[in-house]
Amino acid sequence: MISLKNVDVFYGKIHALRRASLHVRRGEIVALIGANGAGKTTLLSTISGLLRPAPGGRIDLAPATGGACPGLRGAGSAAKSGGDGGAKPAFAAERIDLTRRSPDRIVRLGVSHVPEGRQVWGPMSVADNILLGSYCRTGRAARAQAAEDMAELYRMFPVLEERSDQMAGTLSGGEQQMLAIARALMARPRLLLLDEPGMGLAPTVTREIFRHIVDLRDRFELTVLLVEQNARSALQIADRGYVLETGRIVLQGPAEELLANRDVQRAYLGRDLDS
Amino acid sequence: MDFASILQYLISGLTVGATYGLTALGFTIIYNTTGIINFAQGEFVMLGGMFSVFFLNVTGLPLPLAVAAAVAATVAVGAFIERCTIRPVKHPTLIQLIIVTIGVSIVIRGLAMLVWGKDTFALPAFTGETPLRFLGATILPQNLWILGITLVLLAALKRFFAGTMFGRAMLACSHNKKAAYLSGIDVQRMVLFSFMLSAFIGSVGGAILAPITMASYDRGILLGLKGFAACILGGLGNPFGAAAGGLILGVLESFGAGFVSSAYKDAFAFLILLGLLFVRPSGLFGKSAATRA
Ligand SMILES: Nc1ncnc2c1ncn2[C@@H]1O[C@H](COP(=O)(O)OP(=O)(O)OP(=O)(O)O)[C@@H](O)[C@H]1O
Ligand SMILES: [Mg+2]
Repeated sequence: MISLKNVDVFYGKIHALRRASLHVRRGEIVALIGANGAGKTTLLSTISGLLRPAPGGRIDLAPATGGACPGLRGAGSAAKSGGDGGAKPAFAAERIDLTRRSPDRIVRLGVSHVPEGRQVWGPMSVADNILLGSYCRTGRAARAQAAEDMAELYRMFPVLEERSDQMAGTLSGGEQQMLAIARALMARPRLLLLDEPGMGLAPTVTREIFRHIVDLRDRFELTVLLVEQNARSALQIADRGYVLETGRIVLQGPAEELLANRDVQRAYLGRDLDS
Repeated sequence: MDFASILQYLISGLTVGATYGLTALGFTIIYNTTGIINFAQGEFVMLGGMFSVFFLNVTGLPLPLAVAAAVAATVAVGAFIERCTIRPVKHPTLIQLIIVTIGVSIVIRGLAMLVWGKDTFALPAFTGETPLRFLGATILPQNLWILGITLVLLAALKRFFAGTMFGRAMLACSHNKKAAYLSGIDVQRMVLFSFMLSAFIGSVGGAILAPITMASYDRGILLGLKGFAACILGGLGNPFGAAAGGLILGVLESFGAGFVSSAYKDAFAFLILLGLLFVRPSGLFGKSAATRA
C-alpha cells in the first residue's frame, strides 16, 4: 500500500528522521513503536504531507484498485493475509509519489492521518467535525455516500451520535479520539495513519479504541499504520512492527517476534502498566 | 434634549455604526481564518466608495452596475493582496504578515491619491434624497438602504458559516489549521477566499456609505481604526460581536457628538475602547482569554 525509502527529514539542523525505510501491505496493521522524540510523529507527518522530506527519499503509494472507492464492508479479513511480499511489484508500475504533494491532495489520494492529541475542532459541534471529514468528497453521489458513511459511523460509535450537537471540545479524551478517527474515516481512506490513539487514556479506554481499530480495518478495508508508545497493546493487534530509535529504524519484524524480542521487551514493554 | 433629537442621533449612529460593523466583520473573517489583523481592511471600504464613483462618472455605468463593478474590483484587489503580498512570504510569523498589511494599506492609499487625487467625491443616493419623517426624526432613504443591506449581509454570512461545507471549512481553519489540512481542506484557498470575502463586505460597506459621507482616498484610515475598535469591543474573532460592536460604537459616537461636542466625535470611539479594555479585556461578547487558548 505504501513504502518509504531512505526518507530523511530535518527541522532546521535537527535530523529527525534518518534514511527511514518501511512498507505497509494492503490490509495490514503495522505498528511503529519508539520512545519520546524518536521521530514517530515526524514520520507520519511526512507521509501525510505536513512535512517535506529532504530530496532523495521516496514515498510511494499504491494507486486505488479498480478506480472505484473501496467499499464499506467486504473482503477485509481476506485482505489481511493477502499481499505477502507480492504487493510492491504489483504497483511498481504506477505508484504515486507523495513527497511533493500538499496534505489535501494526499487526503484525496486516500491517506488519512489522525494526528497526535486528536486535534478536533473544539468549538464546533461533533456532527460538524464528522461532516467536515468528508470535505474532499464532492459531487452528488459522493455526498450521498458520505451521508451513509456518517450513519454507519454513528452506529459504530453511538456515543458520538448522542453528543452530535455538543461542542467537540466538551467530549472526554476517549470520545475525542473516537471523533478524530470517525472524522478521518469520513474521507474514505485506504490507508489510515494513527498517532498515539491511546495517549492519555485509561487502559480500558485504550483497549476499546484498539478493538475499534481492528474492527474498522475489517469493515472499511483499511490498511493501518499505528504509532504507539504503549508497545504491547499496539503489537497485540498488529501484523508487523517497526522500532524507531532517534530517527532510525533499528528493528522490524512480525508482531509476535517483536513481542518476544529481548531488547524490545526491555526497552518498550517493561513499562507497560496494563498487562 | 427632546425625544426627536435622541431618535435622530440614534438613527445616524446606527447608520454609521453599520459601516463600522461591516468593517469589523471583514477584520473578523480574515482573523478567523488566518490569525492576521488585516490593516488594509479600511482601504477596502475606501475602494468600495471610490470605485463606485469612478465607474459611475468615468465609465458611465448606471448606479447599480457601478456599485456591483466597484465591489467586484475590490474583491479582485483582495485576491491580489493575498496572492502577491501574503502568500509569497516564506515561513511567516503573524507579526510579519500584519506589518505587510500595513504596508499594503499605505500603498493602496498612495495609489488612490495618485489616480483620483485628493478631492472628495459624492455618490448619489440609491433611491433619491427625499427624507422620510418618523416620530419627529428625519430618515434618509439611504439610511434604510444601509441598515437593510447590513442586516441581509449578516444573515447571509450566518447561513454561509453554519450551513455550507465551504463556510464550515473556513471556520475549521480558524480553530485548528493542522486538522483542516489533514481533513483535505485546501487551507491556502480558504485564506485567499477570506481576503476576497472581507474585501466584498468592506466594499459593500464603502459603497452604501458613500452617498452619506462622500468618498475620498483617505477615508480608509479612520474607518479601519473604528472597525478595528468595533472588533475589539465585540470580542475579537466573534462575527456577531463585531457587527454589534460596530453598531454600539456608532450610536455612542453619535450621542457623544450630539450631547458633548462633535469636535470630539472620533475620540469617543477610542475612549470607549480604552475604557472597555480596562474592564473587560476580551470584549463585550468575547470569551475570556483562558478558554480560547
Ligand atoms: N517542529 C519541530 N521543530 C524542531 N524540532 C522538532 C519539531 N518537531 C519535532 N522535533 C524534534 O524531532 C524529533 C522527533 O520528534 P517527534 O515528534 O517525531 O517524536 P515522537 O516519536 O513523535 O515523540 P513522542 O512520543 O513524544 O510523540 C525530536 O527530537 C523533536 O525534538
Ligand atoms: Mg509523537
